[in-house]
Amino acid sequence: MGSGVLKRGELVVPGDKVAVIEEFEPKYGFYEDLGVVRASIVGYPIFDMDKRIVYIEKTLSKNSIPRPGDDVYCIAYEVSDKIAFAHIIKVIGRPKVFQPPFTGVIHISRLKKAKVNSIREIVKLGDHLYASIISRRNNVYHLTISGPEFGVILARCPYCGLLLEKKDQNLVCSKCNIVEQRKISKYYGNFKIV
Amino acid sequence: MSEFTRRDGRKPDELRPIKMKVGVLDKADGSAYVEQGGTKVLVAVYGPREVHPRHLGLPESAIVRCRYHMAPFSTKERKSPTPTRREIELSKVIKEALASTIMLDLYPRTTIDIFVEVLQADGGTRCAGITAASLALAHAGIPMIDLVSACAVGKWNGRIIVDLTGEEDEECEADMPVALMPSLERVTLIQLNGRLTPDEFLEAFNLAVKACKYIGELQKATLRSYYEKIKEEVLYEQ
Repeated sequence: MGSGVLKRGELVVPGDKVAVIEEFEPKYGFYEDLGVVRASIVGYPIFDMDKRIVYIEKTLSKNSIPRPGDDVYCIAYEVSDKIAFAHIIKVIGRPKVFQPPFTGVIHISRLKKAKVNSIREIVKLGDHLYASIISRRNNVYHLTISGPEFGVILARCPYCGLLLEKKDQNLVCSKCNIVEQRKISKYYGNFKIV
Repeated sequence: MSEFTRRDGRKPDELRPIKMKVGVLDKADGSAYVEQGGTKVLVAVYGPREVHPRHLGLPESAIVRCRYHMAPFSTKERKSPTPTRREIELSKVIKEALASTIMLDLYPRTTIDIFVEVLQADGGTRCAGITAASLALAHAGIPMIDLVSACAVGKWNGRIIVDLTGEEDEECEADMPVALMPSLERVTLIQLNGRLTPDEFLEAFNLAVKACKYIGELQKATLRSYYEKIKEEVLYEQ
């Protein structure tokens, strides 16, 4: 967040006064109350002496909710013509696994591929997806799977339940020999959830 | 005037020995344990997480759900594990005492669940529950405007006393639990059972504020000592 001269302060706990509003503007982990800048979480404050802001860079808490811009691992649980719903299980790069999962939606208008009449052509029920959160409008997580890295990372055969294998731009079941269409991520089959 | 002492030998303004710990449960997002004399309370915090059933969620803020429960082995006689009228009321009281400090508007359509489990009851369980829940919320990394510390005051044998034991609680003429934000000096809970004159009320309130500030210092020291032991590498970037 900061780029200028940074000064690290002593550990603060919620309610601790760190400055007055004329000195520093509160950012992540701080708030202003009656002209006083106070901590709202536990952590080490970073004072940016150039931008005159104070924030907490790292915390012990692995607790965080998904935010726009985050890349997430999710599983589709309801798919219709125009919209697909997915359970957001984890934000990639952060340790917390959401239990219960958050709900995200993929709308057909968010797909850049022109010839998609139904979202069912590219995502099916139970598919594991790598998606990106584009907004939280109306307090709903809007997801997109546009881009080579995003899309289906794991899918099963609708008949036998075997994992589908990627062959060219299609997914094939080695047992039933059926070919399935998906918007496949470039990480299909070797995606590592970290 | 002879010095007034209580049944356990404490002075009227003396608290029972207090022990606090944070991070006692691995599975919870935040947890804390508080021992105040014979009262032992364990708290787990989960969230912010998606609300189920969904209709309970609020579009502009998170909701707080609290379950205060006394373990069947927490009292001298076995207590039925079914939530009693008192437990349901205390769940609401604790929830309201804490909700005013949490920055709920940061997490719309989510819930923060607080589970307060009384392991051993010897008076002041709601206050110990609030103190422990506040620590657990801080441990979970949930933004709060301040910690909350709580302590009960009461009138026993005509004198105002602080931090009543279970025995004193049963015999007292009045009992007043108070919860306070120690840094901002704002009251989040005040209840009064029994009767106090205006002067007695002021005396009791001032005693409660003093006790809450002392407990607040202990809470801060507990959080600091816990976090200072932790190495930089295990901290998470936000």
